[in-house]
Amino acid sequence: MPLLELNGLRAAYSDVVEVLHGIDLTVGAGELVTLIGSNGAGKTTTLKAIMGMARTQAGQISFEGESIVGCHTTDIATRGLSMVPEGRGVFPGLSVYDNLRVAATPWIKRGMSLTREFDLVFDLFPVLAERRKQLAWSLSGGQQQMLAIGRALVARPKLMLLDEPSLGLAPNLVEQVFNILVKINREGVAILLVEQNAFMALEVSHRGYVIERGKVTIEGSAEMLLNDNRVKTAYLGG
Amino acid sequence: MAQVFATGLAMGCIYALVGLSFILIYNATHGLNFAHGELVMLSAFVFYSAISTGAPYWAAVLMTFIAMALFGAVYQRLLFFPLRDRPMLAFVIATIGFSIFARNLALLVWGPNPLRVPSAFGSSSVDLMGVVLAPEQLFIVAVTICVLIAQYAVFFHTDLGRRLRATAQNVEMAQLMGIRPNRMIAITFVVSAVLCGIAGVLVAPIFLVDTDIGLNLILKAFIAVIIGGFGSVPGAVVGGIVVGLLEILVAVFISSVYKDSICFALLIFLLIAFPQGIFGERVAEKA
Repeated sequence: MPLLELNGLRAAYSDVVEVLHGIDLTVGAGELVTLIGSNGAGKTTTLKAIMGMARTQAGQISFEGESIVGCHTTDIATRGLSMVPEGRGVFPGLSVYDNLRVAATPWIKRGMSLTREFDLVFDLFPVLAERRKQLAWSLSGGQQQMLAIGRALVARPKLMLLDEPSLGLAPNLVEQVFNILVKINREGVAILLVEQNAFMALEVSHRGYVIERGKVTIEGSAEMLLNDNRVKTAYLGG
Repeated sequence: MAQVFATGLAMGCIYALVGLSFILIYNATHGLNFAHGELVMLSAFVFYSAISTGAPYWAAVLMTFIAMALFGAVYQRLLFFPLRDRPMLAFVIATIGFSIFARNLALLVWGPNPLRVPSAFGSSSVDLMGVVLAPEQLFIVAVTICVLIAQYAVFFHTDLGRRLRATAQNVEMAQLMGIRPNRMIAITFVVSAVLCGIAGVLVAPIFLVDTDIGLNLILKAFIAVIIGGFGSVPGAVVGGIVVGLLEILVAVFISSVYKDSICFALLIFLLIAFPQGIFGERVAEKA
């Protein structure tokens, strides 16, 4: 049984505009899977539908074998799915520490200790440890991205969804972010990654899907996609 | 002169409390609660009724706080919750409607005559280094300082406070962190209503309680909030004290007839000169 399974998912933002016209997709436990596609193809909507932030009109979304269609975003987040949205979405007026602390809400409520999670995050991102008292708006774009990923990690996810984590970052930072994602993945966290930077994303992934106009058109191992002629011309710059 | 300052400072603290509770709701929902003055009015009336039962001062205070906390929850559920997905104007209009309703309700229940609430301190006075002050005023200032410290402690050093601030800054992200925004907003309304309860309990003995006290308070608190920079917590406090002092200085040295018009003149001047307020946008984002 895959960790996450989408079956014929149709989703929309209103009753009128359907964006996804039947997506089939799976992410296994511990897998790193990339979604590629052009702007407006429906990658972000797929992530939002999983998190209960877009309206699912038909089809099935199951996480660990249980349907999460129609569940509230808060409940989905509490089940072990965490999302790093495009634009990072850090809380600008909260300190780095407070941002991380808020992300651990479900665990704090259950009275669990978070020392291990905080150590892990500060270990992966030493810069966050240095700036733990600084307000998030005053961080650079790259540091905000690290904070956003760190925040998702503190929630001890089984599956992490990332929307364009490399967007707007300098090339050396992009590489750093991908390295960290691989590290996180090796710790056993499954990752579903949406990326414009298809080449780099596929290089670190196990499998990939190409989405065009709300449908999956090509799927396969990352290696196969990297060598696919259609993928090469459309997404890998020839 | 020191007495004048003490009076101004005490009034300023009341404005600061009302302004503070007003922006709590604004920061959490981006809604302007124009019935805020009526919340203070209702709590003053409730306090009057509680005192009239012969209950001791602290018991009456406690009853008022409990009543206001419940009221805040119900108010949130009936006025804000059904309109939460509508444009914010819907909520604003609903609050204006509620303010009219509340004033007429108070008129029916407590009658048109201003009511006198006895002071907890009688008519004694405190001699502080040769300056004679009313204990009431010292009490108001002390309570306000305690409320500010408590509010800071809760919002910045507890997990609940972090969640409240996170929700105020980005509702969608808060949900992704496993926070229930509706619960956070309900808590904000309850806290805000209790702050109104504190303001009501504090003003009741120094004013006569009638259906118009809320209007005066919300106007001054609104000026305070705008002077301080909309949405800023320290701004509301500084703004409140500025308005309180200005008002009393005008009353003493010019004429009490002009105190309101001069307050509004200051507001207009500041809006032209410093449209962001004293503690402009950046702090507002942090609060």
